[in-house]
Amino acid sequence: MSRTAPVAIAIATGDPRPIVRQIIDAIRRQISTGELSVGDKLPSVRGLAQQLGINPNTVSKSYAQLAAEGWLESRSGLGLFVAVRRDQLSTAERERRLGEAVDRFVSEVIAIRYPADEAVAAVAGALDALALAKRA
Amino acid sequence: MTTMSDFAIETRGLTRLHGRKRAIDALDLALPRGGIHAIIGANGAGKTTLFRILLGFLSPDSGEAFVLGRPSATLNSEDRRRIGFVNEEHSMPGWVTVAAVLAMQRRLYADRWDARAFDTVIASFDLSPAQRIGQLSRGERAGFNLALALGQAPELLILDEPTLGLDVVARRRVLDALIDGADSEHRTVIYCSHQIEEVERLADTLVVLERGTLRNVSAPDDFCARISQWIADVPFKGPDAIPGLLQHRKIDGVHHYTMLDADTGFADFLRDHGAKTIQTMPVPLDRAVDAYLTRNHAGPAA
Amino acid sequence: MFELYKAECRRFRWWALGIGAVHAGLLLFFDRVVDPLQQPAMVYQLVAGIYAVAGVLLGLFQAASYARINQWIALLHRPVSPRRVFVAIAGGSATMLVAAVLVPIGLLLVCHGLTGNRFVDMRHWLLGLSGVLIALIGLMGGIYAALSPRRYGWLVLLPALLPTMSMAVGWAALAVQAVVLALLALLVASVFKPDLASPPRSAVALAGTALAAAMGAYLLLTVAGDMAFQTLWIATGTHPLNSRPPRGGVVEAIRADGAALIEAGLAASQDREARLWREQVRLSETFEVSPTIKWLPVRGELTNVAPMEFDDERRGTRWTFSHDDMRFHGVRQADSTVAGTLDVAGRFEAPPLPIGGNRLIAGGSLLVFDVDDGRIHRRVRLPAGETIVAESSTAGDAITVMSDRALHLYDARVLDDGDAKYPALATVPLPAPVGSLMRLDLVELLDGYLLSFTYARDAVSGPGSAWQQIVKVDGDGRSRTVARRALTPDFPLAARFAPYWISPALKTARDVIENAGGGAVPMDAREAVTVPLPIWIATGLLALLSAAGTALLARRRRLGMRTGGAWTLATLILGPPMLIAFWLIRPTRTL
Repeated sequence: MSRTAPVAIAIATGDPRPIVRQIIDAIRRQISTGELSVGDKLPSVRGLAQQLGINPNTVSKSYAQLAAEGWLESRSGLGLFVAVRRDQLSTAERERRLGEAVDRFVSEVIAIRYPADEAVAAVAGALDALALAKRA
Repeated sequence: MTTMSDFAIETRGLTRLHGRKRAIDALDLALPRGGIHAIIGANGAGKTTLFRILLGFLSPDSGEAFVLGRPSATLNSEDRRRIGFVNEEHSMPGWVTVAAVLAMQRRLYADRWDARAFDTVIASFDLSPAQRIGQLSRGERAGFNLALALGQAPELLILDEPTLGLDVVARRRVLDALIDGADSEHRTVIYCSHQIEEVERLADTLVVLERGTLRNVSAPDDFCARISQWIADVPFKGPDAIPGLLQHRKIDGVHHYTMLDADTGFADFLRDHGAKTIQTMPVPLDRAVDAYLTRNHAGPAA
Repeated sequence: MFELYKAECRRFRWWALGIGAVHAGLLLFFDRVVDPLQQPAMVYQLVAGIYAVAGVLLGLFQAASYARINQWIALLHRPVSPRRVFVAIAGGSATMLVAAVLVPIGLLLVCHGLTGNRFVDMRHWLLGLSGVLIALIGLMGGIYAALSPRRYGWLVLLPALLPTMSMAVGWAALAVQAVVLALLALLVASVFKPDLASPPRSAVALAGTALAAAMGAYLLLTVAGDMAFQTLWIATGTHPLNSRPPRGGVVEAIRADGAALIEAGLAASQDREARLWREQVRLSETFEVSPTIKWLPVRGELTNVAPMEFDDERRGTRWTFSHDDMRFHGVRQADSTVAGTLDVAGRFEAPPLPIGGNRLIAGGSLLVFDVDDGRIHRRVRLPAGETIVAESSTAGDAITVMSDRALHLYDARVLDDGDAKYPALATVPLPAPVGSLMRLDLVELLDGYLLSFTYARDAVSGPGSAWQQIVKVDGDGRSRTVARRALTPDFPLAARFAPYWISPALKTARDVIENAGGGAVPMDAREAVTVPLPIWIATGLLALLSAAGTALLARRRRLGMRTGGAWTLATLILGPPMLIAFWLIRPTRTL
């Protein structure tokens, strides 16, 4: 009987992203940085819903999406576990998604009229911090 | 023996007039069993009237209403056993003691009393059994009323502004109690709130009512996804008639458009009107709801 | 729903205690000052009014705390049938009200019997019970007023006032009150449903509400309509009661001087001696005979027509009549000791009514209390079946004794020595029922008497017919009619027959209700009313028009054939009041 790994994520109320999106992003980040390792058991739907103070159905949707993308795998009767990372997406698909993410980011930067070079530096810094955390 | 209906509440062509105004206007609404459904709308949108008709305390002028498959006009005591109702007034007779009210409630719903749910909510409040209801503060009365409703373990729980007047701690307890069991088929919660952040967290379905008519039934995220914010440097006053426009503001010479169901075609539209730079971004739920409900209001001139 | 009942009881416990204490204090205080059991009827009616108002206020207050829709939802949205909620709520306040009213009354009656050798008849316990019933009626009325839709609730309550006019006596009075209470309770139960603003759904409850509302509308139209009409008439200055009455009319006859009235009556006489009589009338004295007494005491009645007691000054004894054993019980005023009982040979046929001058009437007997020997003697006994219905008047050397069948004239000395010694001088059979008699004038001729009967009861503003009839009584006691003239009505036809063209069915119902369980009321024996044809035609037309109105409204409200038909039929039978009731109640399609 494996123990449930702690998942330290929070929902931000002013965040324009839907809650499903926030959970997915947060869990993916935790997996990427290594805070959640492969084989860790995730909290139950009800458990995470209680922790975050949200509707369990929302948690269900997030888990379902993550499982479909290959981040989590379901072991029947035992629960959801962090899956082995397999690159399910083709290079073209990954490039397309990167382009979308860059478009979104740039739109935000324009909207708040942040100087471009400082924005680029911020991105580099964030990615560095991610790598650091992963190694730690 | 009643047949198990698919719907928690259902209305067909429901109309109720209030003088000349239509409080409810030919409403066709069907909410499935299980889950948490939020109904939002401006004051006077017809939410309270709808609840009163659903529970049989008001007669419609035309159309029909059903709860748990049973006609609202002829609910019997067994039907009412399965339905809980809390409104923001939390009306309870002021001269009865807390202990007496609790005892009566426990006896009435003895076969289904959920002591755990009751205790969870009541723990945030410091009520003594000998206190009279009239001596409680508004927040204490609200908490007590909600605890009683949750203790009743109803199949359908209808709440009209349940957390109004509650402090942060109490509100959290109540929401936790509502979440518990939200994924069960045997518990449906329908509630009405102006606290959009609660709606975002709790609701499976977002129902938008406006002047007695139904404007939206969908998951909150789907509703939110339909609304987008567009920022463009359209010269001068900009285009006059914009289909799908919810809100328009001009800040520092730049136009901000909040749009409903706008796609990339809108970017072309703006470009046709002389915009050079156009950006778009999603909108959080509370801004989306606000923009939607105020779309017909005359705003301050840009 | 026992907890709800207990909670409502507890809600009012301090109120009941306080009011009950004040009530007991007042009753015991009055017991020291007067004899509360021997008061005239008006006093008890006032007290009953106070009980009723207390009940209404309690009912209004209690129901008002549940009448707003949010409180109503909190009350009725539970797994308990609305009927049981009603029983719990109304039962709670009723219990407290009964305690506050009954306990002090019981205390009074118990104490009354203990102090100073006074006694309590069975009827007094019933009177106390009657007070409780009236208070409960007020309570139900108050609850109904607070919860029923305002448009017609007040109309439905109006008929509850009818039994205050009731003629019911004794046990029958209690029965009438109990029936009114039961019907009101049913009406209140019919209002205990989730949707407060709609009329009752069940056909029985709706029919009951509609009938009560129709009766209320009828009462409003007849009573208020009459008041409005008369006020307008007074304003124009031609109202006969308020200004100079027309000649030959009813009002003129009622108000005329006795001699002038007899002269007017004789003017049309065909009798050859009429001219002679007219001269004698101018020279002689006319006597006016006392009119019919409205109420006579009945054994077991709850209230008193008049105080059933009198004092023997010489011996310092107060005699009070008891219905239970039909005798007077005496108490010496000085030391409150018992002074025995007083009866009359052959027993009292009915509770005696004092008519002044130490005289009493009871049934068909005229009795006198002899101050010298301190006993009651029967002086006149009329033939079996006749009841004395008026005080006796003096007419020269003779006195009159009017019964429900005839007017008897006796030598005045009969009061001292009885009718064995002084049998009747003349017995004149009454030409018409005694209740219709408005005034009776008498003039002594050289060879007998002339009696002028003026029948005009219910004829001034009502549908009765009025006439004057002159009867000559000659020396050997024989009587014959010598003149008769019809008196023209002063009020217009429509006003006099208003109850008939508004709704004859409801008028009949009202009469039945008011006369249910009635005792012997001499005023009730009236000449039958003949309704003229134009009035019947008007009634029929109005009924048809109202039914058409109802049918139209029913179609507009889409009530369906059966329901609409039922309402239309009811309007055809009951007339315009039912149309008003239908319009106000505004029933909707029953789903």
